[in-house]
Order: sequence, then C-alpha cells, then structure tokens
Amino acid sequence: MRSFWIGCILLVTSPQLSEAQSLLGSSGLGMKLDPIDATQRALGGVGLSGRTPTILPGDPTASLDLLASTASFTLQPMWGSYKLGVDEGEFSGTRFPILGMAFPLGTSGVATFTLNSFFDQNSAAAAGDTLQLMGADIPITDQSDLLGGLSALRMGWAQRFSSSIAIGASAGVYTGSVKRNFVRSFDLDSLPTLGTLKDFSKNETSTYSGPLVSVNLSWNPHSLLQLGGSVQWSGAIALSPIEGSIGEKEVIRAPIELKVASNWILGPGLFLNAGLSSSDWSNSGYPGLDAVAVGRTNTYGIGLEWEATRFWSGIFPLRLGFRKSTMPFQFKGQEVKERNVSLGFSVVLAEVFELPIAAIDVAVEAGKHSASDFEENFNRVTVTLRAGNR
Amino acid sequence: MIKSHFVRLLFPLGFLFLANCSENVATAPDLDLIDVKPYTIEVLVPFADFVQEVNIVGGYGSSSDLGSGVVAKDFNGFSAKTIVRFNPYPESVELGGSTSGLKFIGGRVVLAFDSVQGPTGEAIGLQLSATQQAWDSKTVTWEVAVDTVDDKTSWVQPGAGSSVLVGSGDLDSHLAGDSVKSFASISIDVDSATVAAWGGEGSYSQGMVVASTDPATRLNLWDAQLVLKAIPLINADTIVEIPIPVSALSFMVDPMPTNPGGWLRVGGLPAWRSIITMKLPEQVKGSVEICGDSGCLFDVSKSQLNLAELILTTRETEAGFKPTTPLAIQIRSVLSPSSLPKSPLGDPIGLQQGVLVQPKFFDNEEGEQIFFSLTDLLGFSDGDSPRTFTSNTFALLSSDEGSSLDFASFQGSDNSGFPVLRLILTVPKQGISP
Repeated sequence: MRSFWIGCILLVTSPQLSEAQSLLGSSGLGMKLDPIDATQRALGGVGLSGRTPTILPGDPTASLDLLASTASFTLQPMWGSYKLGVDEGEFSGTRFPILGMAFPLGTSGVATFTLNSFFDQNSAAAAGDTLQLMGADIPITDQSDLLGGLSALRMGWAQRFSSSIAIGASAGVYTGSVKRNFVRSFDLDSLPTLGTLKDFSKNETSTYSGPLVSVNLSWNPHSLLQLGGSVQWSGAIALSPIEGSIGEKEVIRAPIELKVASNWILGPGLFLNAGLSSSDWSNSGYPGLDAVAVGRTNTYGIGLEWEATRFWSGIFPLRLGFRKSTMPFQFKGQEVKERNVSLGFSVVLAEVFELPIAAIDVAVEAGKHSASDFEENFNRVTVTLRAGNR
Repeated sequence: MIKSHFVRLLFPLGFLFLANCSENVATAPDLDLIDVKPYTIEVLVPFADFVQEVNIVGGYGSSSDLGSGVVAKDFNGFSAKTIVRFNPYPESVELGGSTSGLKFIGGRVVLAFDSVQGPTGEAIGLQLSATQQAWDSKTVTWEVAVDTVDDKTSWVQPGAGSSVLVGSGDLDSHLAGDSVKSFASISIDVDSATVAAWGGEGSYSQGMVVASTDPATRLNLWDAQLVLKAIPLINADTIVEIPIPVSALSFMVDPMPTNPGGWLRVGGLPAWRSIITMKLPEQVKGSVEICGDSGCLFDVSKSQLNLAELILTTRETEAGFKPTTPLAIQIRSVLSPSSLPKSPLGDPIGLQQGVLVQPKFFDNEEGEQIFFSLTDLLGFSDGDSPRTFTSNTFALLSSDEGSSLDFASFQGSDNSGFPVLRLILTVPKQGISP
C-alpha cells in the first residue's frame, strides 16, 4: 500500500503527466481546475458538503465521517475537440487534481493533508507568417508552448462541536511553476542563397508561491438538511523567475473565494445536492491578469444521488448532476462558459461494521466550453480512489 | 483480506487510466494567445559604425610556395620573371653495367607553360640568363635578392637585371592550338660554360632567370628542367642526356603590389590578408515597428542575433593579379590581435571552404556584393544578459592561401560600396501574462 501511494505522488508531480490540454490553458492563469473529487463531480458540486465521507481540499469537515486513516487519489482523463473559427482540432490528456490524506482524531476531529491543482497552464500555438528580409519574402513560423500550473499544498483540521455543527480550517501554500518557450524559425529552404538564419528562442520559467487559508462550516439545521459554507483567503502569490530566466518577481493578489452548498434528503436513499462558488480575479494587481479577468464569476451546480442497490461490499449510489460556470479569464476577449452534465457511481470495496473504508468513485461528464467563435466539446472522467487503513 | 482485494483492484485500474495519459495538446492556429510577440528587424550598419580598425597585411608565405613560376613583360603594366636553381649534377652515370665519370659538354633548358597570354598568332621570345649574385628563393623579389634575418641584399639591377644572357628562343608551340591558355613548351640550348657555372655545388649565386622579351605577354611556367649533355669517360663516342630538376623555384613581379590604401586585399603570393577589428554598436536605428514614426535608437543588447553578415563590394584587381579562376575567401578570428601579423587564427567562420567568388567580379564586372557570415563570431542570445559587446578582430584570407598569385580586391572605407554589416535581430517583446 505504501508503494502505491508513493507512486501516486510521483504521478502528481510529474509535469508531463500533469499537463492539461485545452486551449483555455493559455489565458490568464490558465484553465481553472477545481479541486473536486469524483463524487462532487458527479453531483455537479462545488467541493463542499457532500454526503460521502471523502477528502476535499479546503473542506476538512468532509473528512469527519471517515472511520480510519484514509488516503485518496483522484485522476481525471479528459478528451475532446475544439473549433476556433475555421480551425478545428482534438485534444486529450490526464490530470491529477487531488491527492489527500486524512487522519481521524478521536470521534469528533480529523486532520487532513491535501495537494490539489487550481489552474492548469498548458497550451501551444503555432502561426506562420512572412517577413521581408534581405530583399526576399522569408517564411517564418512562430511556435509557443506553455507548460505549468498553480497548485496548493494544505494542512487542515475539522472538529465537530455538536451533532449538527462542525467547523474546519486549513492553511497552506501555493506552489507550482510555469515554463514558457517561444521559438521563431526562418524557413530558407526555398532560398538557399541566403544562408542560414538562427532561430530566435526565449525560455522562461517562473515558480509560484504564497499562502492561503480557508475556514468552513458544516451545519445540519434539520435532520434532512445539511448546509455548508467556506471562505478561502489567499495572500499574495509570488511569481518568481527561476535562475537563468529574465524578469522581475511579480505579485498576484488572489481573490477571496466563497462557497455555499447544501445536501437535502428527499426521501429514503434519495438526496439533492446543490452548490455555488464565487470569486473575482479582476483586482489581482497584476496587469496581465486584470486585463483578461472577467470580473466576478460564479459556478453553480445541482445533482441527485440515489442509493439504488448494494454491489460488492456496500451501497451502490448512482449520481446525476449538472454544472454551469464562467471561467475567470477571457479567451480572445470573450467570456468562456462551461456547461456539463454528469453521471457517476461509487463502488465500496471494503466495509467494516457496514461503514465503507475503501471505495472507488467514478464520474463521467460531457460538457462544452464556449466563447464567441470558440467551442470546445469535452468528455471528462474523474476517478477517486479512497482507501482506509484500520 | 480486505487490503489484498483492494490492492489487487487498484493496480489494474491504475494501468487502465495511465494508458490514457498520452497528451495531445491543442495547438492554437494564431498567436493571439501568446504574450511573446517578437519583432525581427534588419539593420545595415555602415562601415564607420562598426569598424574600429582595418589593417591590410601582406607577406604571408613566399612566391616559392607556389611551385610554379610566372613570366611576363609589360602585360598591362605587369612584368614578372621566374628564377630557378637546379639540383647538383651527378658525378657519374651507369652505362652498360659499368659506372663512368662524366664530362659535361653543354645542355638545354626545357620549359613547360600551362598558360600563355600574348599577341594572337605571334611567337613569344624568351630569354634565359644566369644570375651573378646570391639569391634566396624564399625571399627574393624584384628589388631584393636576399631578405633574411641577417642579410638583406638588393639586386644590383632590379629584377636580377645584372644576370648574363645564356640562351634565348621563340615559344611558338602554343600557336597550333588556342592562342590563349594553352600548353606550350620550349627547349633552349645553353653552352658548356653555363652548364659548368650552374654545376657549382653550394653556390647561392647559381641560378637561371626566365624572362619574356616581347611586351604584352604573360605565361605561367609550371615546369623547368636542365637537360645536361655529357660524355661518359669510359666511352668517349657516346653522348648521354641527364635531366636535372630544379631545386628551388620562385618568381619576381614588377610592380610589387603595395599596401592598398582605403580598400581591402585578400590572397596573392606572398599572401595578403585584410584584418578588421569591429565592435557591434550598442544601439542602432530602430524600425517603425519598434520606435514608431518618430524613430528612435534601438538597444541591440535587448535582442537576439539571427544573422550577421559582412557585405563587401568587389573592385577590379590590378593587372597581373586578376584571378582567372574562382577564389575562395574565408573569415577567421584573430586569436591574439596584439601578436599580428603572426597571430594564430581560429577556425573558419561560416562556410568551412570559404565563399567562392567568380573572377569576373574582380575584373570588368566589379561592384558585386559578396556576403560573409559573421553570425558565429558575434552570436549572442537572450541568455547572455547582461551583455557587453567586445571588440572582435577577424581576418579575411584566401581559403587556399599560397596557391595563387591572384588576389581579391574589395572596396574599403574610401570608396562607394564600402563594407556594410547586416544584422538581423529579433527583439523579444515580453507580454504581461503570468
């Protein structure tokens, strides 16, 4: 088991495998990658107040019902196609949005450690042009690649103060890096008499660092209703060029992120989940971000969970969800909307005293990103593996 | 039990999903999304703005390195004589299985030419004369017979003019073919006294001068041989011929090419090199793209170099030294400028074999622009910051130095068509996205 988790950590930290692939990775801080596990994905949730005991970054109260020390690992293959004006293409890749561990402290407390992604910055662009040089029209190709992302490493704690109220808090640091590579090449194959023009290349790598703190509340005002809320505050995110890269250290003020969510028991084995999150990146103090920030953006989702039957070692819940959001950064001057529907289920792999200690959660989403003449249809599978250790 | 079930499941699942890890990153068809928008500009830097110093240095190698000679008389003002020294004579000869001593009774000089230029359809008169003073094949010139460390002796008369005529003849074997640039040979008899004089071992005054007597002639002498006539002492009725190859061959030209003033010379023999010390300007005039309509000075240190080219303009080479075949010219770094003219040179910059220039561009089609790459010499990239531009000294020289009397000529600072440095630079305009 230990070797399995070491392997997971290596996967999460492997840049090649952590790449995203959408064109949206090129704008602002990249494509927002919410730290949401498969159960929340399937329910259209925002990463708060789920019924399923799990490990969610920024919400330690979600782990209060774990019976044993638990580790979880979420992986997320995604593929799709895009249209940008008359251009079309396909993309695919796998991300690893959450790695977490939780350690119950008695029966009313839990400590969590999570590593999760926030933004994926991975994109490529290539364009051809012609320059008038040396008395000739010289074809050129500009190729740009961006690889990196912003992640968060956090430690959290949650405490149940009564049967209906629990409070959690977490603190951590932003981490990650972004590498930019630009090459302009000159095609002189058709003009051999002109000699050789060296490529122009520019490589820069910067790292992210900065603090973040969140508090969250879980409240059951009624036996059939669970409410949750969280506030995440971020300190200044420093963007520091690594040795050898040119540039000054820059600072980005990350916004406060608010989340509210509810879970309502509609009937025996039937639950309604709803959530909303909101943030505003338009006042980051970093001109490059402010210029493309949309302003306040919201994500909301709603979903149903039905405990259909038992399968393998426990209950087999089926989930259905819908989620709609606005991306925090514009794409080519346009707001980007995301809509998706989701289906999911969980398979309990092991139970003790009829309580699950190991499970696989699966969510399958079909969605669309759209902005003016840009449209991206994607499919995303999210799988969370949870394993407890008694 | 629980754990073993779980672990057994996890690994196949892991494989299943990792199998889908191959990345296919969407590539945008334009650069609207990319913050780095570089400008590529072309700048022509005039001679005065990049050249700190020019030195035309001659004297590399010796006329004797060529291995062949030149004979000319008033060929568009150019005259030349070839001077040779023969190997020692043999003292005996094998004849009928016996060794016999020799008595030299005379001889003839056989001259072979591979290029003959002269009046169409006319024979060319040639003279052979015997030198009367010591000469050094490595340093001999029209004016000087010896120019070594401890001896500098001029000819009594320039061009070994005090030499004594020992034979003459008319070269006409080339007339059967093309009157220009055809193979020709001639045999000229010399008497026994001359043969005896040339046979003196260790005599530095031993030598034969080959000259043309007809004006407007120019010939390349590719071989000379003295054929001795001798009588074996054991058989006085027999005459044998014994070929004696040359032991040293050089040539003298008049006028001697003088150091050019205000223009560049490359090649020849002894060879010339043009040494240029240059320094990149810190700033050049920016384009409208960079500076706008009002113009500005653009900081070169903020750019990357895509190409640096020295552009030279050919000029007509002096008569007698005009190339007749393509001339390859290369550029090499001068590794120790303070040691010039003896500084070692670096590897060729740009084309290893040099830039091949057609001979017509040094004749009636002068004014052709020739491009020499300096990119590798000046190459700098964005990672070299902070950057200061130091002086670079480089030499223009013949790729096959020492193989031809001909040299290339290029315009210098004093003429139109002065050297120009072409720079193609790309300026990274950094965007503001993180």
